[in-house]
Amino acid sequence: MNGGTGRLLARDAVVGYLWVTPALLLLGSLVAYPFLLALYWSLTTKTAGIPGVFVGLDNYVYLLGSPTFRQTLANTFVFTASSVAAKLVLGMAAALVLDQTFRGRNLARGVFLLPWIVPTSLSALAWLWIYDDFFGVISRVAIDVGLRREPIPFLSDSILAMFAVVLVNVWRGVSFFTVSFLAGMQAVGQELYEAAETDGAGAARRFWHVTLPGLRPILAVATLFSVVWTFSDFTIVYIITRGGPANSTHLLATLAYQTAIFGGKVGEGLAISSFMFPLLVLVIFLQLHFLRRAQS
Amino acid sequence: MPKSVRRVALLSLILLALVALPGPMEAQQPRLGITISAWFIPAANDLFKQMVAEWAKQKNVTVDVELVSEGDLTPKFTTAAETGAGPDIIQVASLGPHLFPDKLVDVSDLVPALESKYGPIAQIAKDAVVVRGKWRAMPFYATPQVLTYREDILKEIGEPVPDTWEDALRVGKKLKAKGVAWGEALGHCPVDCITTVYSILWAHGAKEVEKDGRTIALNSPETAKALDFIKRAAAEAWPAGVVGWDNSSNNRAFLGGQLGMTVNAATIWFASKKQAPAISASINHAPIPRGPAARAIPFWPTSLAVFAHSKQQALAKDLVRHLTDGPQMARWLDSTEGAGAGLLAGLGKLEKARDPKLAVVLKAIEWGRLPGWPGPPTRESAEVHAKYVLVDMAQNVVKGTPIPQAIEQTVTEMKRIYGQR
Repeated sequence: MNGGTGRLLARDAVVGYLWVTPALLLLGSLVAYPFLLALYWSLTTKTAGIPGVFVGLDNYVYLLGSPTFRQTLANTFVFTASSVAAKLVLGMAAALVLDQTFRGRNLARGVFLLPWIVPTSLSALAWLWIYDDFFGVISRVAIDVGLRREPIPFLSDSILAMFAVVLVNVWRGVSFFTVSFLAGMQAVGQELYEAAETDGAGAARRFWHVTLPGLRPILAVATLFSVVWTFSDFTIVYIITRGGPANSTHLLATLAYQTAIFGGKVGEGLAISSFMFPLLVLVIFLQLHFLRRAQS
Repeated sequence: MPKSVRRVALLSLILLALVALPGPMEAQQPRLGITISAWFIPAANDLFKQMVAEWAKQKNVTVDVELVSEGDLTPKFTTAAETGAGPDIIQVASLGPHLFPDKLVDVSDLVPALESKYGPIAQIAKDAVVVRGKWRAMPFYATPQVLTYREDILKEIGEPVPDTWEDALRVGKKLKAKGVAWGEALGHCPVDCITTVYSILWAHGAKEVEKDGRTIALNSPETAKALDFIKRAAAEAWPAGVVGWDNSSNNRAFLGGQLGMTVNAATIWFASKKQAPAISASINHAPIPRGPAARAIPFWPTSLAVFAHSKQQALAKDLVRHLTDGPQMARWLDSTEGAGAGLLAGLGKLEKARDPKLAVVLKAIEWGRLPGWPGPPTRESAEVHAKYVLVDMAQNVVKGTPIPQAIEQTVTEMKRIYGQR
């Protein structure tokens, strides 16, 4: 190493910038640039391969007047709200169980993480088989034991189809909550539980007055993370229902893909996905707020 | 900052720079990439690779063959057209060349030699690739759909092969009672579901647009009749879940002994040889049923296109010429065992004799239409097709929306697509 470079590197600030530069370049080229380009294109009539002309908010106005889009927007909220609520409750329940001391606890914790580790596309395909009219295990069993005469219309009934995709999302996402809550529970002081017990608090009151307040920061952060992931989910719906029946399970992400990639209307597709942006910004703002509160 | 950390920092920067620098220029063979849809008979895929390799050896070129699933073809095509990167040659489904004609090399000069040797290219295949008088892709092959049925079951219920949709419904009711139903996919799926809706609409004389390709003509008594038929079929004959079906649902159900009749490519029959030998012998094929107005079916000609971004356009065009040439096409069609159909009139003479059970596959082209019929193929008709607009109309009717209301909703959606907001 010659003297000049050595001196330059001796200044921590310079080295610091050098370290940060690749990350900034990556973020700039892979996140900021595509995002701004997408926002711009959503204001044009761009189709694949053709630049299109600037039309201001035309795409957005058009979408708000489209019944399919309005239904998709509503679907996305129903999907997100019901999935996150179910994941929260089930995740908490599972965490409380796994926090107890019992034989095979570590194995149980490991197994619980499996759905989260399996690639989404694989698990979605497996669920597609489970929901199959003729060979799906649920319908088959229901018919064989005489509960039903016809298969359960998981994918052809609008409400059941939404339930079906929510269930897969919940199945996949519960372990994230469980693991987060478990980690949070370790941090709640044992002496608080002992004090509560001395004061005569039962299990329910201990949960309500000790566990829950102790978990509050983690609860908020985990929920907000999950809202972001669930809101922008794509794979599960794309593989299991493709937005059907009659668009009753289309989410913003799947409708955007169908419009831009299959329909070729890139500008309109990007406008659809841009509707996610304000909500996600709000969620991220809340997330940072809670993180800061948790830290202080 | 400790010295060791600084050293590591410097070393990593140097390494990064070295990796980023271009390596020494080597005298390399030209390299081409071709992306096609994988065929459901593995031998056909192997033969395709072999045909490419033979050409590559002759020309001293390296060719990368990429096989993707049928459903991935359109995303690949759109992405490559948009980014100007990706394979040199791609197999294009249906109306693809109309979506981005300027991104594809004009291959019109390949046509005369081919037609003079093997007769004319089918009109429908030509319509799919000729944009403003220029051939933007070379017709490749199609996988026509036919009525697949079980002879043994029809015999048991004492019914002949249905000729009309009403016949099919009559037979279908009996099949349902027997527990080996008639079923047609009606979900959001790119091939089978489109076929169900478009075939029945056309058979009853319904049309999306007039001949000009712009005037929306969906709201008609013919459309109402067609939707009424779909409603009756769904209620009286088809299994309850058809609006959730995808391309493979009817295949699985048929092979599992749950279906006795369905419109499909010859995939069911091929799969049955291995997966369901017990029913294989009794499977046969017939023309898609006709309606009061016509016997009609969406026909999916595929084509091979050279991207304008290709740096090896001349070579790429020559590979397309080689692959679509009579002897190569015939050889490859033989490997599809009769399920694929060529788009050149004279190919039949070059091919080996087809299995008689599949003779009808070749006739399907006579009834074939492109989305947007009777108008010319347009970007708008491709969008109506890609967004399942007409499929949604049929789904809504099956789910209980009154027919006039379903048609009206669809016309509104179509007006938006056709720019008549």
